Amino acid sequence: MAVDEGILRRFEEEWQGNAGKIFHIVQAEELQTVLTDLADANGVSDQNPIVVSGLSEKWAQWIRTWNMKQVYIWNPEDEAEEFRHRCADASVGITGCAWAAADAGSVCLYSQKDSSLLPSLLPPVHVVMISAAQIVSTFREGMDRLYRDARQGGEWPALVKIVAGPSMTADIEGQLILGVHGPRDVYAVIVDN
Amino acid sequence: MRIQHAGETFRKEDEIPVKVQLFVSCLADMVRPEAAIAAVHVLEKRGVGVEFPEGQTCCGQFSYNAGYQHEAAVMARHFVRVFESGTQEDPTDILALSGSCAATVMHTYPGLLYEDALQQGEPETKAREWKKRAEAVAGRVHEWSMWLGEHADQPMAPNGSPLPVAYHLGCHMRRLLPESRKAQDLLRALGIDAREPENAEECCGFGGTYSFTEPVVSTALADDKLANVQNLVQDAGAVCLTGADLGCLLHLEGRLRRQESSLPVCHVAELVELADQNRLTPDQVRQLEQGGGK
Amino acid sequence: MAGQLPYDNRPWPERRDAALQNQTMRHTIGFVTRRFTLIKGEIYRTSPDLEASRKTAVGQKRQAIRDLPQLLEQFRNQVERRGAHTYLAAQAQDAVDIALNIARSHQAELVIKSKSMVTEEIELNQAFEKAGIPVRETDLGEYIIQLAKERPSHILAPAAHRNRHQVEELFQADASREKISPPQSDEIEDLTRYARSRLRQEFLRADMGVTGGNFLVAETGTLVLITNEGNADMVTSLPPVLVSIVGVEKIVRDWASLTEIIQQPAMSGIGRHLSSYTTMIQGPKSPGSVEGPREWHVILVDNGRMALRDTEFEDVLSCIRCGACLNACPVFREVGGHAYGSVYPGPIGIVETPLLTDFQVLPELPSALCTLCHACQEACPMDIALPDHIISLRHTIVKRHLNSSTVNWTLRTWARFWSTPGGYRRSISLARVMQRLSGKKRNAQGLFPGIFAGWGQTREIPQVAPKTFHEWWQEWKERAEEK
Ligand code: SF4
Repeated sequence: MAVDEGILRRFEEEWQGNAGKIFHIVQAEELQTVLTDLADANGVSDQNPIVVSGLSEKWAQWIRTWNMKQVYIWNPEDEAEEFRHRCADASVGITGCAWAAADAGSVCLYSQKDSSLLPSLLPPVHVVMISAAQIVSTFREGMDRLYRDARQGGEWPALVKIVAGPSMTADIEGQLILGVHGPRDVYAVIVDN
Repeated sequence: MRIQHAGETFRKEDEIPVKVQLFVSCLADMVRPEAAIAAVHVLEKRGVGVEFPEGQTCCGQFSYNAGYQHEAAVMARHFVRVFESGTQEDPTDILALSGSCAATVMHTYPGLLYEDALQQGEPETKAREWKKRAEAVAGRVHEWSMWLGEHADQPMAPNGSPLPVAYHLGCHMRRLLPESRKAQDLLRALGIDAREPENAEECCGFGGTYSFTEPVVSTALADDKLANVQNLVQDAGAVCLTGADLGCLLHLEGRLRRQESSLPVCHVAELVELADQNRLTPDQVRQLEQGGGK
Repeated sequence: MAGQLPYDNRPWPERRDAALQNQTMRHTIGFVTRRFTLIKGEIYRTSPDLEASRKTAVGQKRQAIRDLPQLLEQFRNQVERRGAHTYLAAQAQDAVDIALNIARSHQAELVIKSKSMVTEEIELNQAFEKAGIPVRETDLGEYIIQLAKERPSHILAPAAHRNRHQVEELFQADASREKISPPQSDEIEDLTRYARSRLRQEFLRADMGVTGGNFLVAETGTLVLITNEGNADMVTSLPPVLVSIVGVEKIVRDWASLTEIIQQPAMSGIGRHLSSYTTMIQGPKSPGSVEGPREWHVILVDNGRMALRDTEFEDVLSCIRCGACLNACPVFREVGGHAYGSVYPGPIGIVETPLLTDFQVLPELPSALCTLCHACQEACPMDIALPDHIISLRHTIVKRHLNSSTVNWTLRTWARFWSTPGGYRRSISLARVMQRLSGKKRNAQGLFPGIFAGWGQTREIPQVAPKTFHEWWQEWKERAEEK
C-alpha cells in the first residue's frame, strides 16, 4: 500500500515534538541492528530482558529467528503472572500498536488476550513498532478507527491506551523530568513495507 | 485613521461626527479633572463639539461588581436618564473617559435594569422597556481614546524619536471592548511610543471595591505591575505611566507615592493634548503631575 | 441537596498572609502558571481544528448535563453488562463508605491511587487511614504532599509550593522510615528516581487501585483517564481490584462527543495536543489477559452537583478540571491554591465551593479572591461564565446578609448619594472636609468612612481636586457664552 509521505513526516515531527525518538527500517536486518544497539545501551541481561507483545506475526517471526536469549515474547498460553514479573524487571519493552495519529504524534494500543500493555509501561524503554500504513492523519480518524474496531470485534478491549511521549512530570519546581513511572525513552520504529 | 498635517484644527469637514456627549467618570471628575479637560480640548481641536450632561455622576460599576445589584441599578437608571434626554432625534455618541465604565454600560446595563425592574415588582412590560432604553444608550457608548483613534484625524506625528511611555491597558478594556488596541494606534500616530510592561495582561489589582476591601492582595498585584513598569522606565526610558482607566491609574499612583516614587502618572487624554500642542517632552509630562485643577 | 466539602478552618487573612510569606510557593506558582497560560494560548492559535472542536464540545457538554440522569443510567447499564459494579453516592460520606466496604470485603492491605480531585473532595485517604488501610498517592506531586500531610496547591501541580530541598527532606525521612536507600541528592532528577523506585514496589504489591476519571462515555461505557506520568496506567493495569470514583458531571453522551472533547484538557492545561497517557477502561479484564482488574467498581459522586442543574450555574458542571482558569488568574498567581482553603482553588473553586455546599463553607471566596479581571473567562475552554457567576454569588452574599455591616453601609450610602446630582455634589463637599481634617498626613484612613479606609493602608489617598470637572465646565461654559 502506498504510504502518504506527508502523513509520515507529520507523525515524525509531532512524535519528536512529544520527546519520542524515531527509527525507520525496511528490512529485518535493520530491526536487528536497532534492537541490538538498544539492548547494549540499556543493559539488557538475563535478569533485565527484553519483553515483547502484540507484534504482527511477521515481525514476531523476525525476532524469533535471531534466537536472542534475552527476549521474551508473550504467548497467551503462558502464565500471565510470570510475564508480569518479567516485565517488571525488563530493560526494554517492545509492542505493536493498533494505529498511530500523525497530528497528535501518538500511538494507540489495545489490551487483548494476545497483546499485553505491560511492555509499554513497566520497562524504562518502550519500543513501538508501527507499519507506515497504520498511521492515520488525524487523532480524530484514530478515534473513529477505534470505535469501528470495537464495534466489529463485538466487544471493547478492556483497556485501551494512547501514548503521546514518554512518562513525564513537572511536579517539582515546574522542571520537566522524563521517566517518572513509565518509560523514560519511547522509540517508534516505522516499518516501510 | 488618516494622518494629516498639523494646522489650526485637525478637522476634516463632514467626516467627523460633529457632536458628542462626554461621560467623564466619577474619578476623573473628582480627582483628575485635568484628564477630562484635556479630553475636551482634544476633541474641540478636531472640530468635535462636546456636550457635557451635567446631571451625570457615576456608572455604578463599583456597586454592581460588589454584588449590590439594586444599588447599581439606581445609578444605572440615573445614567440612562441623563444621557437619553434631548437626544431622541439626534443620538450622539457618548464618549466615556474610562474603558471599564464603557464596558459596564455596554454589557451590564440592559440585563441589570431588566432584572432590577422585576425585582422591584414592576410588570414585565416595564422591565422590557428599561432594557430597551438601556440598550439604546449602551449602543452609543465608546471609550474615548478608541473612538478618537477611529473617527478623528490626527495631526502629523512630530519628527524626531517618539516619546516612550509605559501603557497600562485595563482588564475590562482589554477583554470586554473589542479592538481595544486601536487606542494604542492612536498614541503611536501622535508620536507616543506606548509600551506595555511585561505580563501586561495581568490585573493591576485595582478591581473597584476590591482595592478597598482586600488591600493586601490588591497591593501585592500592584507591586508586581509596578515592578514591570519600572523595568520599562529603566530599560526603555519610559517617562510616565499612562492608560485610559483612572481606577487602575490612581491605585498604581497611590502605591508609587507611598513608595516615594515620583514617576508621573497620567491619563492618555493628557498626553494627547500635549502632542496636539507640540509639547510632548519629558519635562512637560512631569508637569502634568503637578497640575491640579487648572 | 447541598454537598460536603472539606476546608481549611484558618480565617482568610491568616491563609492569605501565610501564602504571601511563602516565597518559594509564589515563585514556582508564578512561573508554572504563566508558562502554561502562554503555551495554551499558542497551541489553540496553531490548531484551528481543535478550536472548532472545543466549540462543538461546549455545546455537547451543556446538553449532556441537561440529560444527565438518562446518560448516567446508560453508562451504568453499559459497564454493568461487562461485569463491573456501579454505585451512585449522594453525599461525600456515601462515596467513602462504599469505597471502604469494597476494600474491607477484599481485605485490602495496600491501596494505590492516581490523582483525583473528587477523592480530595470526599477525603478518601483520611477515611482509609483511619480504617487502618494505607493508601499511597502515586502522582509525584500528590505523593510529596501526602508525605507532607498537606493539600494540593494547584490541581495540576499539587506540590508547586515546595522546592527541591523541601522535597528532599521529605524523601529522606520517608527512606529512613522505610529503611531503603534515600535519594542521592536534591537534584530533581534524583528525587524523581527515588519516587520511581519507591512507588514501583507499591504498584506491584498493591491489592486495590483507586482512580478518578476525566470522562465517562454513556454510549460505550468507557472511563477515560488522562495523565502525563503514567501512574493511572499502573493503577488500572496492576491491582486485581479497581475502584474509580468520579463526579457525575464527567459524563459525555457518545463516542463522537468524546472525540471532540478528549484533547481539550491537555490543550488547555499543559498546552499539548495530548497528555502522554490517555487510558480508557471498558470493563474488567477478560480471562487470560495479563493486565487490568479482575473486579471494577465505579462510584458516581453527586455531592451537591445535581442541585446545580436547571440553575443559572448549570454550566459549572461542564468543567473539565483543566486548570486553565487557575493559571490565568492573577490572584491565584499571587497566593496559590492553599489560600483558598478549599480543595477547589482558583476561579472555578471560588464559584464551586460555595455552590456545592450552599455557602456552608468559605463564603468569603467570591469577594476576597477575585478582582473581576475576566482572565478566567478568556481562558476557560468550556466557556463557563466565571466572572458573571462570581458577581452573582456576591449578590447572593448580599441578599443573605453575609457581608460585614461596614461593607453594607458603604455601598448603600454610596448609591444613595450618587443617584442624584445633588447628592453627588454633597458627597464631594464632604470628601473635601475629610481631606482638610486629615491634612496631608500619611495613613489618614481613620478619617475615611466605611471600606474606603482600606485603601490608605498601602496607598496614598487621591486628593479631591480644588476644582472638579463639573465646576470647571460651568465656568468654561459661562466664559464661552460671554464671548
Ligand atoms: S472552569 Fe474552565 S478553565 Fe477552569 S478548570 Fe474548569 S474547564 Fe478549566
